[in-house]
Amino acid sequence: MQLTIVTIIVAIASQSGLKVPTISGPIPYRLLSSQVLRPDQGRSYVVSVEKPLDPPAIKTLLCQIVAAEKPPNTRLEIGVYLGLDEFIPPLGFKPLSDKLAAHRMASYQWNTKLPNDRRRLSVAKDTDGKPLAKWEYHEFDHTKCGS
Amino acid sequence: MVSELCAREDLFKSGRCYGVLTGSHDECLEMPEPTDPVRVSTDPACWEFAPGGCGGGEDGGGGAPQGQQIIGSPGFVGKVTKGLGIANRKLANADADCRQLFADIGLAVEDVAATMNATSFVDGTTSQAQIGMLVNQQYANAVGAATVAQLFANSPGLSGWSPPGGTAYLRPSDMSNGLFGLGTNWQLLVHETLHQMLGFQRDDNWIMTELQNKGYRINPNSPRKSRQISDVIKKKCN
Repeated sequence: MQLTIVTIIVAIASQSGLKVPTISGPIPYRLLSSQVLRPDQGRSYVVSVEKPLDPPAIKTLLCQIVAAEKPPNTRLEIGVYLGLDEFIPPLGFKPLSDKLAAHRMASYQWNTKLPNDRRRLSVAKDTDGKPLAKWEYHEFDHTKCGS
Repeated sequence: MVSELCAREDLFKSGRCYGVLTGSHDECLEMPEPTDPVRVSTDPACWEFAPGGCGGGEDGGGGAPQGQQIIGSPGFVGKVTKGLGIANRKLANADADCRQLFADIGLAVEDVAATMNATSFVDGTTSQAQIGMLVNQQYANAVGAATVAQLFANSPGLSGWSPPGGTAYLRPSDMSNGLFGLGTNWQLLVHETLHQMLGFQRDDNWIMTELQNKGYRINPNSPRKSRQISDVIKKKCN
């Protein structure tokens, strides 16, 4: 498993009960979880931000995360949450699942085997942080970050 | 041919451990019936004694999924084995609708099949596996259960529990469905496989909401809850 320094810090902080540090940049965020995915060694990241973001800002944030974490080009999931204090895997447990859903602002999925996916980025909250009745989908490809 | 049954041979000989390493999915039928079902159901699964688990298969044929185990009573093993056979056929013959279903949650159907065949399926109602070890202690505290068996006992509607890591836990009675319970709930095996592939954050609620937003007839607030995921798998991949 390839762990970046940030991920190691997150792991240590989580184990010790310390608050996960905010990572500075154009969009400050906290990396709450980093997970290796089966079967392709993809990555899943859970990040939290303090302010609602519009879709261009979300894309900027996704590029920041990719630049920092350098996930392999197999499969990638990034969940962006608004004001989430900690991440406990819900695994079907409704109170945890409801809490996660309430904070969900955007979700990005990318799979190298699905090159024609046009709905990789879903946005669940508006720019006031209120939930959208229906998720909005946007085209985005993190491999084109910086180009 | 029956594969080697268990790393803990003494447990097997005493009729207390029924772990099997599957070869082709129609084997394992020669396993002895337990003389005392209660003892069978209360003993820890053999892999819990021996990491690496039930010993390797001896048949060498049929392209046995490496490391996959099915652990539970003979009836459970038979049902899961049959379900895997059906699910493999469905996924191998996936049409455009079936492929699109998995693509809509970011997965390729070939990967779903491969992961399913590398996932162990265990009777969750008897498993003494520690939830704190499988997920973390925060989660164990939140759900109020120390073992997987306790989680199933506390959650009557729970059909399967599948923390990413290679093992999915099932409620044996939910492996049957249809008229008089004669059908095999193969779609539950696929459903639980999805959780092996998706990140922790992408739980049933996320899958249902994602599919609903992409036009599938799913309602996360329906009384059928996450069974709708299994339903849509069956509908789109049948």
